[in-house]
Amino acid sequence: MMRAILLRDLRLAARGASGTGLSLAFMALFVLLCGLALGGSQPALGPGLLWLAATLSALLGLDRFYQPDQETGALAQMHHAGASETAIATAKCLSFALTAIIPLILAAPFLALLLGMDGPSITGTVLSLIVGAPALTAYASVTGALLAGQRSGGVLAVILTAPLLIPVLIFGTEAANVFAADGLATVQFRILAGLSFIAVALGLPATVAALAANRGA
Amino acid sequence: MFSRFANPQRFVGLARWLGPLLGWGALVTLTLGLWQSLIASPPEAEHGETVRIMYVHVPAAWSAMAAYSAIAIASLVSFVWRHPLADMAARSLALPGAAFTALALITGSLWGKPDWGTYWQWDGRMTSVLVLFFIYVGYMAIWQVVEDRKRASRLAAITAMIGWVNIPIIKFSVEWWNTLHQSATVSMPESPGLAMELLVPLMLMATGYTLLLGWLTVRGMLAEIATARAARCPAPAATARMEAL
Repeated sequence: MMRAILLRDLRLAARGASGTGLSLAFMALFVLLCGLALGGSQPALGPGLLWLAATLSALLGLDRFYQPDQETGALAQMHHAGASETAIATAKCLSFALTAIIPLILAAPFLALLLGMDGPSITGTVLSLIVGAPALTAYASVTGALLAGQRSGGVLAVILTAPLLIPVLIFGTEAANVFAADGLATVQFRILAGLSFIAVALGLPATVAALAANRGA
Repeated sequence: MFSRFANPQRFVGLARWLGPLLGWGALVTLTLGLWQSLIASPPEAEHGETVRIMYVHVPAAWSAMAAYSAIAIASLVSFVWRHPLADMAARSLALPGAAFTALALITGSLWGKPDWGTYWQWDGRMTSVLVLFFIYVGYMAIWQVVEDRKRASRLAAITAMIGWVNIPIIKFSVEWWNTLHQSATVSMPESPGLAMELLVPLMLMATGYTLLLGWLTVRGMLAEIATARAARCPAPAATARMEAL
């Protein structure tokens, strides 16, 4: 069942329904605006700006996490077809990671060049984004599920998710910054990984509970 | 013991005398506390007169944290046992809690200027309290946005519980972040190291804030119960008026 949901979402994404392109465009535009507003290349601020860009574009995309499927009744159909909320949530998280987060991470190195970042710094940023991606996905999933019944939850989604993402943002940027000097085996990378684990452990059950509540259970 | 008062009718009976008790208690304690802290107590050696901000600031921060923890506990009760009174308690605590958080932030920054030379610093404690304020905002927004009451209470409870688990993480992580990168750590005067003439007004104010929080919560819950009842069976007078229209 999980495989079916995942394949369906990937097929939808391939036909352009998931808004991946929009997220990418937003991220690129954000970096462009940062470059212009801050007066050209900012290699020192690069990791922080890229983390901000990725986080914000993930947040802007999260109203597509569950809301369309709730509205069209697809979530109810999956439930009636015998999919547990856990299976739905896991499949949706995987598809969100594949269609919304990973494209952002893949775009990051190119945008890093706009900011004038050097090789080790780019590698550190990409690695920290990969380690932080589960946390981004899990918290986006919780908020997406909480606001699944809301048509215009955009701003509220940001308000609800941002406090949860603050530690991830702090340690993500820190991990990227120390990578050039200290590599992967740093306190920052370990804490970032820990935050990702906590996010998944918290986020999945909360998503399941929120989906159940929105179904009326 | 608590389940006894989980019955709304009994709770209304309890609130009828508990509410005024808390309210008058808060008024008396706060008046006494304000007089003690703003007029009677001596200026402190190191901080001078600005120490008086502490009496407003520190209990506000305590109350803000206590209110959020109470919301989280009430949310857990509401989520597991689906008791409407727990919902009402959590919902009624949110606005006073957010107000105390804002008070702590504002007085803190006003205190920061004379003492540390800056209104704001990205220090662990300040940042985590600011985050707490946004968690409050998000929690209240869920109640505002979700129309169906039952659904709103489930979703708000989930939000509150996740927010609570994150508070220690926020505090811990940002303290880590600071110890790694900024040597300046701001230490508050700890209560054991506090002189008696400072401790008395502080404790009076803390008690007053707690009583005030309790009073506002009880009032909020009574209002919620009345609203729920009015929605279920409109008062005859109101119905007659509506019919007349």
